[in-house]
Amino acid sequence: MIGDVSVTVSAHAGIHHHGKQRRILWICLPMVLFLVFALELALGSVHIPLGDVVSILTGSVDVDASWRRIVLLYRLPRALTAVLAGSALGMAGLKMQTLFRNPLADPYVLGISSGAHLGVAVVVLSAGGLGWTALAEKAGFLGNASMILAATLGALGAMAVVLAVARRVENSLTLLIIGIMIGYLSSAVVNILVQFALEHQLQAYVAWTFGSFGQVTWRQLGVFAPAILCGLGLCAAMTKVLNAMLLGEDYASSLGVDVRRARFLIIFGASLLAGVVTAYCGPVSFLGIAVPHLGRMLLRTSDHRFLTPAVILIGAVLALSADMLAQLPGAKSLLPLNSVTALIGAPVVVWVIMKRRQVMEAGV
Amino acid sequence: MNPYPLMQASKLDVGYERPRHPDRHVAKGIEVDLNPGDFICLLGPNGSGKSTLLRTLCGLLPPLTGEVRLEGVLMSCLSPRETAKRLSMVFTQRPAVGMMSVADLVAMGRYPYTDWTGRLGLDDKKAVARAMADVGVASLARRPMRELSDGERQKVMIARALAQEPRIMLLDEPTAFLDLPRRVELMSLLRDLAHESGRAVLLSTHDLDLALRCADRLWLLAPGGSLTQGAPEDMVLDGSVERIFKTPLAEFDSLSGSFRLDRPGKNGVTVSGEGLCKVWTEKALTRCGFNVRDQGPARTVVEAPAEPGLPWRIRGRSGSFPSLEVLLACMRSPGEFFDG
Repeated sequence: MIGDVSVTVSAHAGIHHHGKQRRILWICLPMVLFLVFALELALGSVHIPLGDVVSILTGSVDVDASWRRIVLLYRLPRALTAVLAGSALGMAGLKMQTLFRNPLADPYVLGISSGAHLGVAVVVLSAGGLGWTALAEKAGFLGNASMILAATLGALGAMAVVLAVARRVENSLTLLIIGIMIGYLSSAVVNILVQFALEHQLQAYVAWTFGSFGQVTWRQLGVFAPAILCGLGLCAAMTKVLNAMLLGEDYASSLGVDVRRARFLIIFGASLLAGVVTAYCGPVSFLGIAVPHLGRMLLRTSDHRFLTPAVILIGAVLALSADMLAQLPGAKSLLPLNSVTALIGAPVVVWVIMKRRQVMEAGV
Repeated sequence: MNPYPLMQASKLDVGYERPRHPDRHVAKGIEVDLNPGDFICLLGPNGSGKSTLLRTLCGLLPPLTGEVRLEGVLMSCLSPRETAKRLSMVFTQRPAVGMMSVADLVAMGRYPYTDWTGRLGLDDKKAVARAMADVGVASLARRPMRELSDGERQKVMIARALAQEPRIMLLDEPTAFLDLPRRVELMSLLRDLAHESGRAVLLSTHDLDLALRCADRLWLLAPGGSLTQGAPEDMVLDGSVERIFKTPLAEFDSLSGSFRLDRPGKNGVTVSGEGLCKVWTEKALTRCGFNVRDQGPARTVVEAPAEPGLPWRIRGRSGSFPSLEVLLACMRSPGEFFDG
């Protein structure tokens, strides 16, 4: 059976048999992203024609000054935030689904957002009791620096616990359980705080849990964007390891992966992305679980070398679309972002799953 | 040539460390080595620690005491990547990678050789194609894993292990989910891989029968955790196989090299005739609890037909039986030939 088999490389050529479909996708996805980005800048409570948006962006000064302010001060940072946050959540979700080989895993599965919840709840809800009333009232919901700080500290706390455990345990399932327990502990404390909170404090807290891309200022983008880009870069550098992890930790290890180190880096990257997004945009839900599935279905692969760019693009497109729907043209008030992501996303995912039954396997 | 064995384990204790408890030793004092061309079957009853030993030998589990050397180098001194270039593993659990194509999965074996992007060079592609051809799955290259049968899937996993171009392949129960012809096929494939390419192949199995017939050596792991080794035939002759596998209900038959299902009954029967029909008539009677003897004071003599298709008779009685089933039904009816 073994011997001088004439070695042909052509046997390997079949690997990319979905090549054509993929090539179309690689052209379409950036175009769709560009389109949605432009619409996000044009649409809103004030409609600004696309042509004027373009001239504002190119630095032209003969456009209405208030329009310029709207686009440059509000809509552009908002759109950039949505792009970064969507990419980050999709990427973090993909990593968690691969690490735990579980199609239901999302970026928050390790308790990152629970930690952020707790941080924000402590600052907002206990502000009165701690004599921070003045600060909290003055800051309000829009002056969100204290919220960001609180959410960051909360997310960091949860991340520190999980990473400390990740270095010691053999089994990823243990981590999953610890993440869930962090979630229960946080929500227990949050509920106690809610019980004793004042009404306006509650309102501020609940508004934070809705999620929003609109609170990030240019100055804050200066921190937000580099942090997200670092996280995405770390993920992109780990595609080969993630691919090996698809086979399970035993096989990955037998292929030469230092599994404990890889797991630490995967969790670190995903937590960084999820934590930063939660700190700046609130616990934006659903994108993290849906985007990786959409990516797998569109590309028909579980190869991270293709999924990584796809998930970044799809995440950005979905986040922008959800944000646009949340501020429907003509509507006076905004819809909660989390409601929109779930309302448009859940049917899409259900549809995709019904159409292709092997979606669960795709997740692993 | 490297004078060292491909793998050498000395004074090896395998098992699990337990915090604040004595370690759980699964097997103790193991002294084994693997040399080029070895095809070795690791046998032992359930729970004797075959998987634990394999996991220790491939470096997934640290040894409790003792050491494992690969070509003279301590395994703990090798980086995971260096180890992966020398040794590959096929596990029992099946990775859920249904969307992945066969060629992609086999290409995973190139992990230790590619750079951080995982791009396959020409050498890598050749190694993948060669591995698929050697195992006979080249025609499946484009198929997604989910479409494969258990036998094909197992071959692909072996091709993946081969693409790693290891000196040693360890396989944990590779024949577990396969039917008998597929098991025979896989064993002969693995034996060829060892003999013709100078690799060492070590596999654990429950298939005593097959292992006795094709292994160069057996490693027998007793429930107490001691390992004995030798040529299969030696191990049968010195009673090692029987000692390790014997249970109150299953006796090892050293003559046939397999386990008896039934203890012979007290009703003696002799079968006359020859050829295939005689052999299978004896098997049928043994299965039904008769004590089949070649000669001696047997009360009953069954006359097997000369060739299949002809009827059976019982000496001294009229009537014939068109099939063994009818014959057995008659012989088993109370008061006839069966004393209860």
